[in-house]
Amino acid sequence: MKNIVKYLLVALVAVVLNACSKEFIQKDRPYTMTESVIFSDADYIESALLGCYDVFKSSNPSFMSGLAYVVFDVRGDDVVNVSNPVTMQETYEMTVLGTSLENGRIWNYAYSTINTCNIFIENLEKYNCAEVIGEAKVAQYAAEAKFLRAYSLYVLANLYSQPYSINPNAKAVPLRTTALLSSGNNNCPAATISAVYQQILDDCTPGVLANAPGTYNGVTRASAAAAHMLRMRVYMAMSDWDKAITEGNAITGYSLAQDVTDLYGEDTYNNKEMIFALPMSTQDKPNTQMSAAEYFSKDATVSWLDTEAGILSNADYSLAADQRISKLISAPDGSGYVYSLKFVDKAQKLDWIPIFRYAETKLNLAECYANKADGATNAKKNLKDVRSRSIAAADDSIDVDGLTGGNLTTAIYNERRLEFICEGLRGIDIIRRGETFSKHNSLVDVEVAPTSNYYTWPIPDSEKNYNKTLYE
Amino acid sequence: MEIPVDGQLSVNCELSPDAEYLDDVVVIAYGTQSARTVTAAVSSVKAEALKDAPNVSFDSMLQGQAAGVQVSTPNAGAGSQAKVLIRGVSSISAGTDPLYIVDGVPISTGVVNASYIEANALSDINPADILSIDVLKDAAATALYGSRAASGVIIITTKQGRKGETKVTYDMNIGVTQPTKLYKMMDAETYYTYKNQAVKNAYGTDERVISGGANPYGNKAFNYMTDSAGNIIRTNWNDLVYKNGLVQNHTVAISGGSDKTQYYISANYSNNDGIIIGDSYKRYGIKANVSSQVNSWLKVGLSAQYSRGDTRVIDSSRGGSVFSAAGLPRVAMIMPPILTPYNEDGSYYVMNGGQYIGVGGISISSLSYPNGMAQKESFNAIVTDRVIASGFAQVEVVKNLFLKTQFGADYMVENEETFWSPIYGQGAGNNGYAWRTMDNALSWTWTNTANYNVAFKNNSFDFLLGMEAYYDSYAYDWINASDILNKAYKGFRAGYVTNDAGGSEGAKSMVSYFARVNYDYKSRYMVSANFRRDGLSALGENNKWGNFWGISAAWRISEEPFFAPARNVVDELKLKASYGVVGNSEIGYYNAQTYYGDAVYGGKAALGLANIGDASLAWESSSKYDVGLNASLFNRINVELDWYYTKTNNLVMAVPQGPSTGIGSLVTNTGAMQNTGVEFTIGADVIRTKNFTWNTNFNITTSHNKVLELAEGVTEIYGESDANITMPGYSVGQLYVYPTGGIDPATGRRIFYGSEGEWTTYDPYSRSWYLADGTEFQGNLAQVRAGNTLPTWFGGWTNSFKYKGFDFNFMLQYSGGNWILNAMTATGSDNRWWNNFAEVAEKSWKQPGDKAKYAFPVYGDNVSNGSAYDISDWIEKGDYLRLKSVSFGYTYKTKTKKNLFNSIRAYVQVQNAFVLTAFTGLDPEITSSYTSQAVLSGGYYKNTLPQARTFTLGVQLTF
Repeated sequence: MKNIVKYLLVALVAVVLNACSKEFIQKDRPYTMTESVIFSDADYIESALLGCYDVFKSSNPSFMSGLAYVVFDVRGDDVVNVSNPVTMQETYEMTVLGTSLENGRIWNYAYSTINTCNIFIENLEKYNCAEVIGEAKVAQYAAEAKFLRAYSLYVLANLYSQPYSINPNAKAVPLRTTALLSSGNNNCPAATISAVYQQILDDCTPGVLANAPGTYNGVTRASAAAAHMLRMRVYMAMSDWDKAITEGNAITGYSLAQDVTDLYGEDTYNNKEMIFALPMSTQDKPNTQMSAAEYFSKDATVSWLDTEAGILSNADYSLAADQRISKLISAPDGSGYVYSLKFVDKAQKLDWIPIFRYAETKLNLAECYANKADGATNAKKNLKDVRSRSIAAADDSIDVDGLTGGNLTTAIYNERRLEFICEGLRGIDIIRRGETFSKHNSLVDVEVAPTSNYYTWPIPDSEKNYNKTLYE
Repeated sequence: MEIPVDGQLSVNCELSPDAEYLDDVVVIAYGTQSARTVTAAVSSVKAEALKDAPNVSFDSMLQGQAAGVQVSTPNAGAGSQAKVLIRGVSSISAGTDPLYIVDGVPISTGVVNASYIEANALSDINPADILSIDVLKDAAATALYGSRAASGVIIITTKQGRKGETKVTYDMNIGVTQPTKLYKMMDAETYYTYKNQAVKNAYGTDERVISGGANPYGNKAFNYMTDSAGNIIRTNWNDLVYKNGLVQNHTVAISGGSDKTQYYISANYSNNDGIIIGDSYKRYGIKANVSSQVNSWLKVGLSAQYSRGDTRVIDSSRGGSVFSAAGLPRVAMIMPPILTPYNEDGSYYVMNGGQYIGVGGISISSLSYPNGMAQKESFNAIVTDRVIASGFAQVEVVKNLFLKTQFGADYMVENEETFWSPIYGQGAGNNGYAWRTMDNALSWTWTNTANYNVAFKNNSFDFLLGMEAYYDSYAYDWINASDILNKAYKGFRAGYVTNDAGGSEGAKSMVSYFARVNYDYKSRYMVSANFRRDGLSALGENNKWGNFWGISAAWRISEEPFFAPARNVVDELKLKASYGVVGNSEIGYYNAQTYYGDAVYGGKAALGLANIGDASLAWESSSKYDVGLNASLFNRINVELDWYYTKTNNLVMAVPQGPSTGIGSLVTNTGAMQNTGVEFTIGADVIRTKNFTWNTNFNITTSHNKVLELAEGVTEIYGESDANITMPGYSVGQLYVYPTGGIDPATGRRIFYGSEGEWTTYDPYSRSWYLADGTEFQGNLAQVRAGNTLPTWFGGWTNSFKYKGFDFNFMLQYSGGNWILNAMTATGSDNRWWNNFAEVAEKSWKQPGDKAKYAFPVYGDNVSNGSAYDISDWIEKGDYLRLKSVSFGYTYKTKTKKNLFNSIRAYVQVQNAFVLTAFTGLDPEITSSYTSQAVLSGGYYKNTLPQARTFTLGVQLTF
């Protein structure tokens, strides 16, 4: 008996020693997928494309749904930022350094988006997706990813580069157009602003995007109109008014919403004005202290609207009868501050982010025409369309039809400021035109001309450390 | 359980109840060995050395106890873990923690997988249950643990029963803790004067609103705030943040046994109230060890413990977030003394629903900062329930051939709850936020060994053959909730507008085969060889298997006949050498795989690229060399000397990529690093008389790290805050800062050196740099490598005096050779609204000719004193000497059985009594970084808690 037990135990050990171990040490990550599975299935391929949108929007963690969206208003002169360095105080005060928090963040988010898009675009070829979804869809998906890449570059161009209008050969940012999956790719010289804009133009292909589908009236996916809009902005930055007008006029099928308040909040797609907007859901929203509502809403107290020196200090642009004032700006609080009501959901952060809307098409056209010798009539028409939507002619202190020359240009510039306040355009408009950042109120005295080192952001130290050819 | 103190470096422990009394043994991999014949580098720490300390975890108690073992306590957070390194930093990106084995079973270690605060997995082991700790250092000692041995192995043996005597012990200590040092900050008057002067310097007048609008307390930039009676508010924020803590530990143990069966049973309770508000750690535990010789050939045993750890903090910087605005250590420093955190009715002085301190216009208009005290309405708690259990059966098949099977499991359930009050900071942003996680972590190890020893004539062999399977898994679920419905409630179970949930799971597994043979001839010549082959799931498809091995030899010269004349003086002399290759498997579960995870976009399923993996990821391997000498003189002095050299190849490294690549980092095998140094230990029974003994033990270790090679195309790697650089030819994590040259006596501006060595000063008005001739500097400012952050020498010196029943013990502990960037100096002299060190008012530049430490204050300037750029002026030496502990005790023993107890010992002890150092921060041992990048980001000191000084009273009763 004793020996039997002994030998049984020995046998047990022997069995274990000989047990097949190969399977035991094979472990895959649960709830994840590999590329070879994804890129051989039509639904998964589309999901991977939506993954690019998600990175562009908020999984990255808050690129266009957050920091990169609000940064241009914080840089601008219509919003006051009274917070601390975590919420872009340095951006407002125009003191951003190579070590500043927002500098590194936006840079990283932009390039992470770009590489995600590049990987997706190359995988469409690598895995021969045309056999799964057809050539047309491959082309369309690639065009959508290229549009996201282009917009990311556009954000970078407007933060890091001297404006094209001042120096078309200014060193801008590195151009990354191939998928990077391994190390050894740190070096990449900064391309000129001309080259960056050319890349954006090349990446925006309205022809291929004409059939882009999408939920929510298609506004959450890149469309032909969205591609035209980005091209239009780039041509305006290059002062190529004719080409910009061509792009603007190519946008058809859109019209201004009746009520300007329809354009904000949740589900802002049920109108003909929205061209491209980023959706929000409880599962998919910006990180803490990065959403527009956390910057601009009254509850957030990070920013309020500058009524001392900003556009709201101009009587013509703070008329009580103007719906953009009466409905989109709060009554003064105890300290006399007023806030935008465009992004109010600070707790849930479900406010959609409008990127392009048809009102911008119109005001872009207005500005382009105003810059042309014979464009005043068209300029006024487009300006009037947007302004009269929010204020009846009878209540208006401005007679648009009577504007001429510099007054017309100023009126268009000002209309843009009021119409798009908190919508990420002001800082772009200033730098595009080579204007001076001028903020003088009881809180700051900022005067930063294009000659100042602080006019654009320095490329982050973290990039300079690794990228040795940046300035070659 | 009395352990004789005999001046030996190893411990007498009763592992095998069969033997009456063993020779001194050391615990080695899968067994024990006579200290005399051991050929490997092993240090033993006896229970005696760990007694009296009020620590709740043994890791911090190892500091200074053994050569080659470097322990640093990052801060005084209750329940925080210590950092333990054996023979230097073994890896850059893979783990550097040693492998911990408790009674033969590897346990989970490191930071408990929590989201907002960290808890120490090692503190689940009650130090009072530990009999001995053996530290395996070289390849010969560790190779049997193969791929897990690169950072060394710490083997913990817990107490066992002894036959024939039933013993009941009660061990308790209770103590008070206090911060060892706090910064002296400006008081209200100094702050008011200094900050207004800075405003005046900036704008020409101090009658100015800096930001934020109307101010009810005056028309200056900074005004005194007054209460309703008109008294000026003077707040000392240190007093609000720091407090005295209370520590207590209790253990009751019963042990005993018959000829066949022995047992040890204990229960413990610990409570450690920290030195900052809201900080506490509690542990409740029970433990049992039982072993039984069933019959002549079968022996079985079971060892099990259950513990509950409860870590609570409110400090949001506890996880080591260097820049956490609301971290309590930072609140204590930067909050203005002219502000109050409370209204007169006791409510919090806040505005905008708690987002910022103040009500309407406040006395400092530019401040948009949370009221740190309102954090008291928030909390973080981690409760861990953990069972560590193992059982074995051993069969003696034929004489001296033992087959043993042992199964051990470590199962931990960790529940974490975080609540951010809607009246404070980030919680205000979400109108109340709760975060709840549950993590089930299971690891088990099944080990089967065959052991045969045979001796003939003067030859003795010991063979070991084994197989092991290891499995490690986690299942992690989280829920977060935001927008609380009823502000009367605190915590996750209140109602919220939204709830969101998710989770993840993962597993890794390993199969191993191993063998060892030890041979000795006349206990004079010893040779040992080890081999282990491991297959690990986490590695790339074709690189899962790795081979590890070690060989060693020793020569006991003192056993040679020719040595006989010297034996009166040298009673023991042994030379030894070893070499081997071990691995590091402290890498992620799935780093070798490229995969996509679920995401959402526009209401539809999206797939996001979650990881870019290296399909050929393989082991990181370390070649370890050791040459050593052991000697015993006059039968009362022991000397140990070891030289070690470790070269680590194929480092598993998260190679950081330039941000514009869009890839954060890639985990791959690349690069090489070395660690080398000398360990020296001397122990002596200086005085050994009947009534009086003096026992001393001194050790010192030198440790030199050098990175030999990084990845292809990567010439350097930067640390977290870009204040460190790692590059070939230098030790890992060198400081990397902007070179500065103090304050220019003529202008009061900070001197910065350009990349070509140009002398420039920073002008805070134009925010630009100027050359000596007054023209604007057109060159580059660039960071430079500025000092090693790893201590190059460290050790401890213990002394124990006994006179009759009295004993007096003290231990000095020291470390140095490293440099620290004291970034707190920048914070403490920042020219924004932050409060400053009291010395700043005196030591800032005032007039030409001043040799100042700080720049001429210009309000808003965050460059001159080093906030925006880390500057070399704030680099300090990290050398220190600490009186780690000093205790005085009295033991009374009775010989008769009439008394209720057999012995009673009472003692008082002071821990961290003082530290001698030139470092001006709170403590030179503190580190700010807990993250995975900690190795790359050393020597960066910012926003951390000081150390705690503890005064303890303890009693040990034996019945």
